[in-house]
Amino acid sequence: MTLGPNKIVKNINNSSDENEILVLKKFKKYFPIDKTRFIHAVDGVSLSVKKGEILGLVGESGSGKSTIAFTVMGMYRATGGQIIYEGENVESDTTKRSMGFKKNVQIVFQDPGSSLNPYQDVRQILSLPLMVHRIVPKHQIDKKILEILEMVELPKSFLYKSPSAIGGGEKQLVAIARALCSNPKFIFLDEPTSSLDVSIQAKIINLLLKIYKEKQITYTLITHDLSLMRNISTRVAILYLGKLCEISTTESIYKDPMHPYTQMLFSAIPVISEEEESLKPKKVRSTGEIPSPVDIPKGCSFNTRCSKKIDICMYKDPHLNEVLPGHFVRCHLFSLDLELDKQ
Amino acid sequence: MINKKTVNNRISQIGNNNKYNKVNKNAILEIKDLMVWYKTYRGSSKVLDGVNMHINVGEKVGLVGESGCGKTTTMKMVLQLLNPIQIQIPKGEIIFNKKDILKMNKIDLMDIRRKHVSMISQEPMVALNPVYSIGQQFQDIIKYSGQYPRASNEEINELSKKAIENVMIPDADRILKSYPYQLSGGMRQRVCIAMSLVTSRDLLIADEPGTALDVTIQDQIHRLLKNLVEKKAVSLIMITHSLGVARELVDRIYVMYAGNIVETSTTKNIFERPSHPYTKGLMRCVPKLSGGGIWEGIYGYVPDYNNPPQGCRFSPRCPDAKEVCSINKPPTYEIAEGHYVACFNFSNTVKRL
Repeated sequence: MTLGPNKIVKNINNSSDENEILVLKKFKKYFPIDKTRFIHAVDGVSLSVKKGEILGLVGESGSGKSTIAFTVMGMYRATGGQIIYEGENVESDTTKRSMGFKKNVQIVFQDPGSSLNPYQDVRQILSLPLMVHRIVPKHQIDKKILEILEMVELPKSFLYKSPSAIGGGEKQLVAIARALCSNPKFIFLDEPTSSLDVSIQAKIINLLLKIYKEKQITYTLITHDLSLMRNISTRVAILYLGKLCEISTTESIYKDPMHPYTQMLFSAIPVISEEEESLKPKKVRSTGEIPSPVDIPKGCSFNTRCSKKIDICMYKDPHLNEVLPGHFVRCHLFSLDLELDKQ
Repeated sequence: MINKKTVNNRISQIGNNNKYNKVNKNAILEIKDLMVWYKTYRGSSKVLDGVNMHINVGEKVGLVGESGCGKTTTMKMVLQLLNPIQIQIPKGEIIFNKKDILKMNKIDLMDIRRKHVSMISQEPMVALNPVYSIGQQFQDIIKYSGQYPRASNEEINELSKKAIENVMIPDADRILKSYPYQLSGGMRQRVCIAMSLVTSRDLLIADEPGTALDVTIQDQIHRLLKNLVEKKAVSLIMITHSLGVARELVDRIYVMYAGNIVETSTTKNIFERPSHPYTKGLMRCVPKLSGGGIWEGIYGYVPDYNNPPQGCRFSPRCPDAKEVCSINKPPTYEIAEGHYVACFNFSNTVKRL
């Protein structure tokens, strides 16, 4: 691929678009192990989520997808970088955050079994966010809860059920209902269907899409199911060891995956028809495992598993470059650094 | 509540339907009309409702279905891993190498577990003993398999090393000395595969070996498993809920729903001509890499086994259900050679009981 020098290294951070609902700038989260060593869970991620889009975050476990969501939600304090929500800086200290932010940004966790309080019934679970954010006056809470239950297509009888008495798919629906209580504008979906069967997954995803259309909520969907991602997200970001590898619109990335890691991920998807088989990159085969985020390899962090690595990958970390309009890849194969190095 | 009479009726009804399962000379394992009920406080939970399947020597077979369909129960019955106090077996035979496992004494059963059948579990962390090193666990397996009665420690070590190298782990010595917690999920699952194939086995049961792992690691594990099974000519039963995994790995597929085998055929046939409404539904639920949105899923949920639906257990969820479906249990029809479907929609085709 030939590239003009002007196209290269266009920083995505500097664009301040009205449409952007959430922007992360050089976002970092390290977890300390001891005084000198850190787990580099998220290592300088810059990305923006536009209003009304479904951004997919993909990567293996240990790539930092959930850490991004949890840190934005305030479960951890960010080590560095900025979180900007609707043009305003968000403090990493949760006590200093505004109620408005807490109301507008919600999360649905991966495992509904452990994210719902087993000692409360559905009514108690759903009434807390309504009371905290004063969505409705106290005497209307029950009415509002029924409205929300209807929205997630659960029957009235669920009001006094405890989470242990209902099935996995229904628990996840309650978790979604809880996130919807405060009329949020932005929801993190942290692998909402990975612990469920395909038939239930289809139901929940369809419900989420229905709510997305009705309420115009922006989603950030974290998943490792690339086939699912293909069908619902509008933009996809691939993460590896806390860094972005590739980010682009869904069509572009599925038509032409450029980063060797994206190709490896795509080649590993089990598919059910010949038609899909033909869409997978053929020559790449998955090898190796994701290295420990404590000792990240020097140079490009993917060099331990990459089939196309060249000398420069061993000592120099590539930048995120715009290879096609809106299609960013962090790989030396697609950057000018290579040619500069040769000169 | 079900009284004794209806139970007997049901059993005789099911019994009649299973003559298609002829005695197969090549079969290493044959499950005939197996019914397993769990005892619960609310009465018996009728999980397996007449399961018929067979695995030929050297064949790779997949068992596909939603969670809670009885896939794992069936396989645990083969190894008799369920607590006999908790279950009831009203009916059925599990014939392994011409002997019925259900009638075996404890010593013979031990023999089967030690020498003939091995199992890879879904959770590699739970399957490995955390307080023994990998090497010690290999030693136990090799010693009790009886295949190397006079092997010295060095020989055992050599064997384990070879097994670990077979599953593409470099530095076998270090692995043998380490404990399960020191290994990553993918490594642990590889070690489990190595353990299950370190001595020669007749049958390997893999219970969703890749589910707990990442896609790339899952892909590697499946490729490895396939190669090893083909190399060592072991018969494989692969339990999975992912149709994609089954398509890549196995020769023949059994689709299971609520304790019944609803459809069985070669992998190619199943994917080209899914015939049972449940199989069709499952296929449509899988999100496609080629795009095209997501289907709304199969209506309803897996039934409550304490009170399963009368007749065909899929009838309450079935889009093509007829009146007869909720009264009688469908017999098995052969709609093409080796393609069996348990559904009344095929009652006009040649009926082979």
